[in-house]
Amino acid sequence: MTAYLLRRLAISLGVFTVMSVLVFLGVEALPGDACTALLGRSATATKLAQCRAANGLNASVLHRLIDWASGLLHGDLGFSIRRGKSVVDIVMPRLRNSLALATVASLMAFPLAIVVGVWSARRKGTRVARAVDTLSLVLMTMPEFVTASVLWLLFAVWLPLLPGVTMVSSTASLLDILPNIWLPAITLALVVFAHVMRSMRASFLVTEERPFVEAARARGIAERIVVRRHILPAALPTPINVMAVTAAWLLTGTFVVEVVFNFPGLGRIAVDAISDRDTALILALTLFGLVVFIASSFVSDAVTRALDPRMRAQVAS
Amino acid sequence: MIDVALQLDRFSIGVGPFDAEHLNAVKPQLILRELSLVVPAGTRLGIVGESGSGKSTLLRAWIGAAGHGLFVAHGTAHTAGHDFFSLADEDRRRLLGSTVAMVPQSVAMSLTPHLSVAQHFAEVLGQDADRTSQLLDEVGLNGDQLRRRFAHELSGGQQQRVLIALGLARDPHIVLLDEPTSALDVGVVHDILSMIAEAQHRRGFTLVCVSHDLSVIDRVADRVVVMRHGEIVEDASREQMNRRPSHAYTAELLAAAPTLGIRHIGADRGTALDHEAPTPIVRAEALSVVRSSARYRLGRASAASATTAVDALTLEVFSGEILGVIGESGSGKSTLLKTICGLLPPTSGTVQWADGFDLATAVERRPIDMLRRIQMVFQNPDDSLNPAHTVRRLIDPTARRSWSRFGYASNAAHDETLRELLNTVGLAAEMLERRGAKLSGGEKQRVAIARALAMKPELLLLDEVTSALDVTVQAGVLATLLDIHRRLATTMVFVSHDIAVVASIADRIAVLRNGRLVEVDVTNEVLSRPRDPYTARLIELARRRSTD
Repeated sequence: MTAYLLRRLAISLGVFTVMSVLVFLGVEALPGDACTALLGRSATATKLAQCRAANGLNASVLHRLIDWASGLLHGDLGFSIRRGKSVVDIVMPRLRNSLALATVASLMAFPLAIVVGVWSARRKGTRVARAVDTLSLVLMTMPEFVTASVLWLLFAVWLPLLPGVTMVSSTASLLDILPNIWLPAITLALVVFAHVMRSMRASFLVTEERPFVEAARARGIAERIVVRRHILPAALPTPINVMAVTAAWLLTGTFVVEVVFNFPGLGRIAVDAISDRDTALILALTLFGLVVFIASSFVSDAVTRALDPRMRAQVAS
Repeated sequence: MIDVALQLDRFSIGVGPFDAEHLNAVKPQLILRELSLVVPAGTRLGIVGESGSGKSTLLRAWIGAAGHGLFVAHGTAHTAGHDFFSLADEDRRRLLGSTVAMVPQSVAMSLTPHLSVAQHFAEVLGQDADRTSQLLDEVGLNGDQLRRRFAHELSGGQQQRVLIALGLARDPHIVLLDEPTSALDVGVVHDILSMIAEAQHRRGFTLVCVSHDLSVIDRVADRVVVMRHGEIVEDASREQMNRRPSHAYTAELLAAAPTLGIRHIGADRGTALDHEAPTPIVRAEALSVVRSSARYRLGRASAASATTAVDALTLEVFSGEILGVIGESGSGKSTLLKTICGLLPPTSGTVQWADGFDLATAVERRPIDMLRRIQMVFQNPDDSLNPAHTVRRLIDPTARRSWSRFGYASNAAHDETLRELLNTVGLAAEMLERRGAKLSGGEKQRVAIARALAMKPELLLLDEVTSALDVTVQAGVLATLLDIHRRLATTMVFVSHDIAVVASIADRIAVLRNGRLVEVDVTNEVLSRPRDPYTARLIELARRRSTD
């Protein structure tokens, strides 16, 4: 088990090293740099030269990369030229907001998706199950900005229950942010719900066909126990994997929804960082994304292993 | 107690799109046709039939499980006086396990993989969970050792015993057994059948046992029903049936079952061993193959362990002979074949082709002509044939470009070659365009043999090629193999767990046990004068199976 963890950690480190080099080179390859982005129209040759000298942009790519990496080893994520702040100060409040958004969306979507998935699988073929199935397909395929706009229209304009646009700053207290979370969270939850629900349903139906389920039913075991003890543990790994991937997406890929509701999360700032050539910020967000994906696949593997004695043995060996 | 345990009254089950409102609108195909049968309480009934005969469907009908897309077309089936199809779910569930128990076959993973043995029993026994050990004891298992294990930590025989114990747990009046011994080793089969017979004798329940194997039915039933195409073709006492089967199909079944001592197919042909000095085509000397695998103990895995699958084996395969290799699971017989064809590397010792070529060479490093010379046919054609490909594509060597240098060309003459090839394995030429998925089990295996023969091999490795087949189909495939041998004189190594099958085809028999060669000799010699007690026991078990 330890060997397995170490191996995975080593692979992740390797992936991150390669990615940070690529990101560095990618930003470098873009026309312009942090100073041209910062100065914009007011850029003159002297100002640019000053700015570059002040921010150490004249050093070679390699030099700056090494500089950044050694900073990282000391827990320093670097300094954002554009924003005049350390990257940690920029990222932290937004990370908190994104985590809150992802948590609320997950809590709304995941439990419901599992319950509805099982429910719809057990009522396969009935009219209401078919309706739920079709609805989930619509939710899954509809672009988020459409879902977001519809919800916005319904709950912020026609029925003004919730704020449609966040008017507080990213560093406001969680209590001030909370009312602004609902609409983006529901939007995200709907998309995520559809994915998880459909995978739960499909996995349940496949598992139900397996011989041990027929055998359990033939022993006269109550249906709810057959579902809970025999089918679910064998069917859950698939939706758990989907949940892990979507949870990671909730933390890293929510730019569109953040823009629609002006929510101060990480997705928005990631896009801004690229247009600002803000290398340090881009790298910090890349690192964060990687950590999220590694962690989510870890969690999903651990849960899957706990459910299946054969996996426990295999991974350990 | 009811006098009649099970009853069928013109009972039919159909398949197909069922339109309840317009019964006649859709023409259903009948899986079971107007079956009528009465099974008195406390008796032992055996139902025998080949795959597709409807025997398992019938067994399920008695617990009200019709299965996917199946429906009761007409008639009734009664179990302990209840029509399970018309019972409310709750009532049906109450009877299951307590009045009637169904024991599914173990090969199909009928134990829930993530629940331990003890958890299975706790579910069924409820308050009486402490009876678990006693029940496991009754089916010949050590409860203390096994109760914390999961299905993947049990052997096939142990799984089957656990399933039987689960069935007996709530003292049912009726026990339905579905293929209780398929895919188990002959010794294990013997023990399990004795255990079942004893339990029935002690508890006195009504026993219904379904099997494709007449010898299994013979051991546990007093009355035998033979099914074919959804109909009962024979219903007789065991003695009657063995002495004088009234239906031609029953006679065919009895004849097709391979029996020891009689070389009933191919007895007339001369063998390569008649020559003075047989020349070896493959020579293995002190060959050992170690296979590593994870070992499990009580849910936790200990370090990966290595097992010696083949242990210091010295054996020659003579040119032109059929060498039969017999052994139980874990004896190393499949490992031996895989080593010869380069799928597994030997750990020590040597294995050589006639011209001195080192067969320790992995398959991907072998020269192409060497690849052609050795061909292997696997046990399960469902796994080894792509169901989406046509037979033409499956057997045509030119489909693989590298083979074109052997003079295969895609033209009309070539088509003729393919038809001839099909003819050799006993298939009609029209089969060429049929897809793998549309073939029966026996047809698939013949296609797999044809695919191997297309390479014009000098050595054909046959790994349990008939064990997934019905007994009459098996007889046909064995006859085809002998026919091929007669015409092409291809050397064959025929591996099987069934000594009767091996004896009916092989010139010589090699007996393997735990990776070691127990003995090897001419077939009749091994059968009449086995030198090792293990061989003697295998023969004894096979004899008892066919004469009991």
